[in-house]
Amino acid sequence: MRIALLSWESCHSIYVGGVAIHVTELACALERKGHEVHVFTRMGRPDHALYERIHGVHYHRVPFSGHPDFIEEINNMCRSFVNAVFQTEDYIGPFDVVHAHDWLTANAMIWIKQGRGRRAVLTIHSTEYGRCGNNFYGGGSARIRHIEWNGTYSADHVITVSKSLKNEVMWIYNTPYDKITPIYNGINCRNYDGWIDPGSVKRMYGIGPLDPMVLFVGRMVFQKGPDLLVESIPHVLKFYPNAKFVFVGDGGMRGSVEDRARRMGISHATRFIGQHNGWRLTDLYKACDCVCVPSRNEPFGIVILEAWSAGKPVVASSNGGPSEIVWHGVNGYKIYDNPDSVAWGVGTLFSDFDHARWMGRNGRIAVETVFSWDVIADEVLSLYYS
Amino acid sequence: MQRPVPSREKRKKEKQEDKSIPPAPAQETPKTVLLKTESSPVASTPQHEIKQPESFPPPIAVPPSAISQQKSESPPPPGPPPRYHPQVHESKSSSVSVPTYHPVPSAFHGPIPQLRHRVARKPAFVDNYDLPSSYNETNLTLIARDPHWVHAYWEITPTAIEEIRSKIGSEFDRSTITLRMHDVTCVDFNGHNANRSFDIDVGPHAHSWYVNLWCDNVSYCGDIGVRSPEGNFYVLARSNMIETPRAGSSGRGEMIWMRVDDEEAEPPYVLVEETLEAKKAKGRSVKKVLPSFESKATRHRIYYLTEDDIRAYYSRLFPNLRRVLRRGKGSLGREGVDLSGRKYRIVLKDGEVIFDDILLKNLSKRQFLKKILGGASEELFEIGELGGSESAAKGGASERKELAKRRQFFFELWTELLVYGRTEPDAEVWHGNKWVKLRDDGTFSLRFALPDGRIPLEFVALSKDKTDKRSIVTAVERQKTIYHP
Repeated sequence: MRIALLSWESCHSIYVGGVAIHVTELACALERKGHEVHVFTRMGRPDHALYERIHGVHYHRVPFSGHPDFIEEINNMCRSFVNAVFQTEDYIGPFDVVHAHDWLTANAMIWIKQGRGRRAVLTIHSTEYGRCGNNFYGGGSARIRHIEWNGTYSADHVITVSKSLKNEVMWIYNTPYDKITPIYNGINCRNYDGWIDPGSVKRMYGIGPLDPMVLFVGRMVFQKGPDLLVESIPHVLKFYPNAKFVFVGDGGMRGSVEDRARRMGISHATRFIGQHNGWRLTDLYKACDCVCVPSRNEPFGIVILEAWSAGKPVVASSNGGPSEIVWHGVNGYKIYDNPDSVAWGVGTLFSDFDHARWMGRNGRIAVETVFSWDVIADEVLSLYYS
Repeated sequence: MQRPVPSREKRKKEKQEDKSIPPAPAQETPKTVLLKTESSPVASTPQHEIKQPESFPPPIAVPPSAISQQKSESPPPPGPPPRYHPQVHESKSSSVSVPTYHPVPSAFHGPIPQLRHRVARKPAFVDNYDLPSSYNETNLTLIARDPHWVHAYWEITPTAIEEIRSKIGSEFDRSTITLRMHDVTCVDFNGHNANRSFDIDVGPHAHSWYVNLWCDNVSYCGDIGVRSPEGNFYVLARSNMIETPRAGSSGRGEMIWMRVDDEEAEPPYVLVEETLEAKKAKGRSVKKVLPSFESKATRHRIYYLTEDDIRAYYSRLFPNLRRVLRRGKGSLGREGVDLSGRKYRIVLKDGEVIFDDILLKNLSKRQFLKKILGGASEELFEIGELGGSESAAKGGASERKELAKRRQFFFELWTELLVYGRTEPDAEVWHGNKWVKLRDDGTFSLRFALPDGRIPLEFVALSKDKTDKRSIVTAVERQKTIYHP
């Protein structure tokens, strides 16, 4: 089977967020199953080759012209993608499936389908409504919603990363029930193999070796709810005065959240360390005692899989994806998106570290069993064949 | 049959007198046409005559055919046609819903009388009732007047006042009657979870109030009660829920399509808790941990879950994996044995694996068995492949070299297609709609990738003077390549 994956980011061009890992890993997994996979993505650095074969996957890095308007620039990118796909097809033969990721490449998928009638699949990683923090804004946001609607309307099949996102897409875009299949995200848990000395990692951030440590990973935006965790800190400190809260990530809300922590007099218990990737983040995952995901809207929550891969339990809000994948009391606690509930989750977890470690181990088992890219590639393939 | 004529019928008679007014002349305004005229063709259904009550002045005994004849003789209705249905007009003004048609001969044959001014009469609607000032019922009602105003009206019975007075005693004398408004937008209101609330001291004499709101498109619920200076609020009645309309258009401008099917959405994933007894009844392995001492550490753990339990639980999230796990682990390792699952039959024979499942067809035998036996992540581990993000996280190129070193043996195969030909040097050659560049001596060669599948090749040569044309059509096919690890 010859598959074209369209994505605006990948680990081998420009890395922005979860979609890059998703596309790169899915392409590799499909290639391992013996398929011919072409990834069409943006031009990253000027020294990148236009075409390269990485891990058996064909990467086409497509240049395009910029534009002051972001959506127009994305449309330029889509036009370049269409051109690149058609040129590739002329050279090697038609693609069996054209698989686009998110609204950014939805237009390219639509135009390819209109032009040459290829089977079109669209993966929705999140909706514009959710990215706006559960709001329907006007302006560019409305245009993006229209592109998302057009993508779900034109695609032959739509993949969402969780059932709650499926319901959200059905609600906002009136997509038929049968047209959407939820396929969860995966993770390469071997990135988190190995042991480290948590004390030395904590020392880097000025945290005592035996202090209970809560990790928040995510963009500092309303959607992810860092303010909820900050508001809950006094309740936790009441019972665990040496608890520390590490916030990894950056965003528009960071200043106000830090300010709020200072005003409440709890800044001694918080560490805002900005955006981190790679081994620093992995070490933090391994050093912490629990990972808190107090999101107001979470399509899937890869952070949960990362925590489990590092063998850590999670305290996750029951909005969206986390409510489907977290087994309450077995590999994490499900909470509501308010500060009291967050404090309850963190406090309950701290009250029994034996149980917390057991939950972390269970999480690792879950990740090893099902949230691997080979399993997900199986699901995607069965959808291609259906 | 004579019976006392009620006042309603008196008015009816007055109406009858009005009916003697002839059809309006052509220069009359359309307004007068609204009066009931016999020439209006719609109302004149002959069978209506039969239903005529006897108390009405008896209509003239004219057979229906005669009426229609008369009608044809009578001049067409002058002026523009009536804008309203005359019959509806009639039934509105009289509560007796009898369609009326009274052929009054003078209207047709007599001299046309002068149009009289209509005497101002009492309107047909009876609205001179006095509403009772109280219904002896403690209640509160909200009505949304417009996006920013809500009208509240209430009644508090003396009994309710006495009750609350006996309950709170002297505190009542210091209290005031208060209207408390709750903003319950997007809330399943239970009395305590309002988004915000505010109070209005309405005093003992008011029975209604106009409440100004800050924002539109909100839901409100109100309480009427007494509030003491200490802040205690005793509810006497709770109102209905109201929703104020939007003040403007919605911010959502995109197309929203109607849903046609009535299929219900799949409910979000629900965790069904299995009790220990139910688990035992199913015969699943349960290792109950009886704590020798009750400690905080064991409080949360009632029974142990084995790894298999967790695997089975999470495999439910992936339909295909569930199918794989359902087949069982041990029995699949044996070759040459027919294994029948419920739906997917697998036959292993002669070292070849035949599956019914389209998905597993794409796995080679070794991968399949590994997948069954070891789960996906272990398969990944054994074969020694790395995922993309892993190598990216660990620094790309150096990791790749390591991987190649570890692999030691590799085997790759590619195919290419070379097409070459010859024609006159000044001719033109086209491949499909693409122009093929010729060398000076008229030869050309093209190089294509040769993937799995069929590649049609159509070449057309055209002489310089465009008169001679030769075309060659051929095709090359590469069969599906099979990789055996």
